[in-house]
Order: sequence, then C-alpha cells, then structure tokens
Amino acid sequence: MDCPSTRLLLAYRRPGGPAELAPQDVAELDLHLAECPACTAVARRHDRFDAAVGPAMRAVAVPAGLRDRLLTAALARSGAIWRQTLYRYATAASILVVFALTVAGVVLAFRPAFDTDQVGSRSAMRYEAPEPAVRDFLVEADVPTTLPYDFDFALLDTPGQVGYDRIDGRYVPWVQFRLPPRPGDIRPNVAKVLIVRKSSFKLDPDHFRTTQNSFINVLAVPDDGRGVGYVIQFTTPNLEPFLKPALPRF
Amino acid sequence: MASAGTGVRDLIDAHYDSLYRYAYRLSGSAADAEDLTQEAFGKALARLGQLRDRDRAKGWLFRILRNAYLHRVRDERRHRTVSLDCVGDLPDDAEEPAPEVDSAKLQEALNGLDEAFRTPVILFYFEDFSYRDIADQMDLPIGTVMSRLARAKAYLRGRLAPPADPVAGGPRRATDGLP
Repeated sequence: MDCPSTRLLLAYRRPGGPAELAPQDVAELDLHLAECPACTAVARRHDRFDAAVGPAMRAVAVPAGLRDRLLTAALARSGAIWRQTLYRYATAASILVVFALTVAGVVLAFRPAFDTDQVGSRSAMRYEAPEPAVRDFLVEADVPTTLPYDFDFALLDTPGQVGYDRIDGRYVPWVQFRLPPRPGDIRPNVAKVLIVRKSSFKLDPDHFRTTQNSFINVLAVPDDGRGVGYVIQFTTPNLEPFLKPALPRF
Repeated sequence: MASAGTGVRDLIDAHYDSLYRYAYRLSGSAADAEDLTQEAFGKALARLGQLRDRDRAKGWLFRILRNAYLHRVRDERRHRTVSLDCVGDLPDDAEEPAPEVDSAKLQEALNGLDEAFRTPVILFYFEDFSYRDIADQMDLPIGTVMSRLARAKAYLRGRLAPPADPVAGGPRRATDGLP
C-alpha cells in the first residue's frame, strides 16, 4: 500500500469505534503504518484529535430529574393518544350508526304502500284470465313463459295455482293444475309442474318413476335449451287429463 | 395502554441521556435540548408501532430528534452558520499539537457549523454510529457523509487547535485553518 492510499483509508479508520474498513484493508494499513513514519505521524494526529474531541463531544451534563420529567410528559401524552384514539373510534362508530339509521329511515320512509287494489285485481285476473296470470308469474320468476306440455289452463288449481317451493335452499317456481272432483274420488287429482333452473340443479333426463309408497308419479323433462328443466308430479296414470283436449278432426 | 407505557418507559430509560446530549450538541442550548428530547419521545410514542426492531431504537430516536430540530430551525431561521461547501480539508500533515478540548468551546465551534456538517460530526463522535448509520439517518450517500465529516473535522481542528502564532492571534474565524 502506498502513502496516498493510506491517507485515504486513515480517514475511514475509527480506532475503538465501529469497524468501517474490511479486514484486509486494516491489515494492509497496519503493515504500511509499521513501515512509514510519515503516515504513522498523520495517523497519530488523527487519533489524538479524535481522542480529545470524542469525550468532549459526549461531555454534556444531563439535567437532574430529566428522566422523570420526560417520563411524566410521555405518560401524559400516552393517555392523550389513547383518549384521542378512543375518540376517533367512537366518532367513526357514531357516524356509522347515524348513517345506518339514516339509510334505514330512508328505506322505511320510502317503502311502497301496500296496494290492496293490485292484490284484488291479481286475484281477479287469476280467476278471469288464468293463462296470462301464469305467464306473468313465470316472467316474474325469470323462467320461460311456456310449459313443456300444452296444459289446459282451465284446470288451474285456483287460488293456489302458482308459487315457490324451497328445495335444498333454493326457491323453485311451480304451477299446479287440478281436475274437477269426480264422485268417488278420495282426493283431488293434481299435476304440479316445477320449473327447475339448470344452474341450480342437475336433472336426470327422461326420468319417470312412481314415488315409493305414494300415488304420485314424477316426470323429469330435461333442459330444452332455455336453461330450465321441468319436474312434473301428477296423481293420474298419465298427464293426458291435464292437457288441452285435442281438436276434433274433420 | 400498559404495554405502551412500558414501551415508552423502556425507551426513555435506555436512551434519554444520549438523546439529550445529541440534542444539546445540535441546538447548543440546554433548554432547547430538553424540549427537543421531550418532543422526540412524544413523537416516538405516537409512532411506536413503526418501530419493529427494538435494536434500532436508538437510531430511530436520533432520526426523530434531528427531524424535530430541523423543523424548528426552519421555523425560526435563527441560526447563523458557516457553510463549508466552498472549503476543503485540512492537510493531513499539518503539524499541530493535540488539543485540549473544552466542552463549551467545542459547542461554540459546533454552533458555527451548518447543520449538514454538524450532524455527521456529532454522530461520528458519539461512536455508536457507523458511517452507514449516519448516512441512513441523514438520507445521504455514505460518500457524502464521509466528505462532510472530513470538512467538519478540519473545521473543528482549526477552531479548537491552540493559536500557533501569538502575534497573529485574535478572534478566530470559522474559516481559520481551512485552505
């Protein structure tokens, strides 16, 4: 190592302080200092100056009681911060509550009045025009408005002709037809058409079976390309009594 | 609350004296130093969650204190200091005896230094801080810290060394001893 490099490294050297130089630099520096009186003198001057200034720099008398004053102030501030945080959370919670109450109030204030006239007209429509009433229901249920067979809407089971069944947590719309009671019938014969969304259930195609220990037949009509299938429960041997009579042939 | 209280108590116990000394050397006044120390602990308490590594608490507190000091100085604009931007280092081979450094005289010399030079030289002589620590605290490249440190030490040498020629004595200026 030469003298200029040594002078450069001397500026980085801190005897007694944090190690700033790589070990090999320290070794080379020490080697050069052992051989070069001029650099050794410079290093001594550096060290003497630092040794004199370092203690003087740290020689600051700390006022008596400073620690206690700092602690008192810090703890007071800690309490203030705690209260401030609490206040912030309380304010945020209050704002949320007020907002929720306002929304609830608005919703309650602007809810529609129950229209008894509309209810009456709907019921009347079911009696007077059952097929359009069923179509409206199917539109509201967001399913196709036509059923898989040509059912006779004169046989709609009024007034419980349409509705929803909750199956496995999903609402399934249905339309129910009922045959006029005949003498000797133990129970009315009905056909209930459940409209099953393909997105909600898997449906076995062409599934026809008689429910065990029951008089009910079940017919599954698979998806016809409109995103729904149908499950028809009926109490007659076949569906024919529920369909519109065939037109007479001439 | 209890843990925050314990945390700040530990911080104060561990660092209040060194922080006060640093504040004193920065500000040059005991009253300012105490205010700054209190302000630094107050700010530290509010940001205690940011301190993930307790081993770095000292550097963190020193940084907070320096920022508080800079904020005050900017507000007050009261310090008249000497910028060392235009001066170089003292030659290494200048013959000078080892100075007897008086703490008050040292403070006088520090007060005359621009903060950009005063901070690294104070932190340097606090010895716990490496050049890398100083650079991190000041958000500066380590080379810049080294350069400022060399100039600041040269300045201090000029201010603290006894007058070589009594005939040419008289009040020493901040640039005395600098080329």
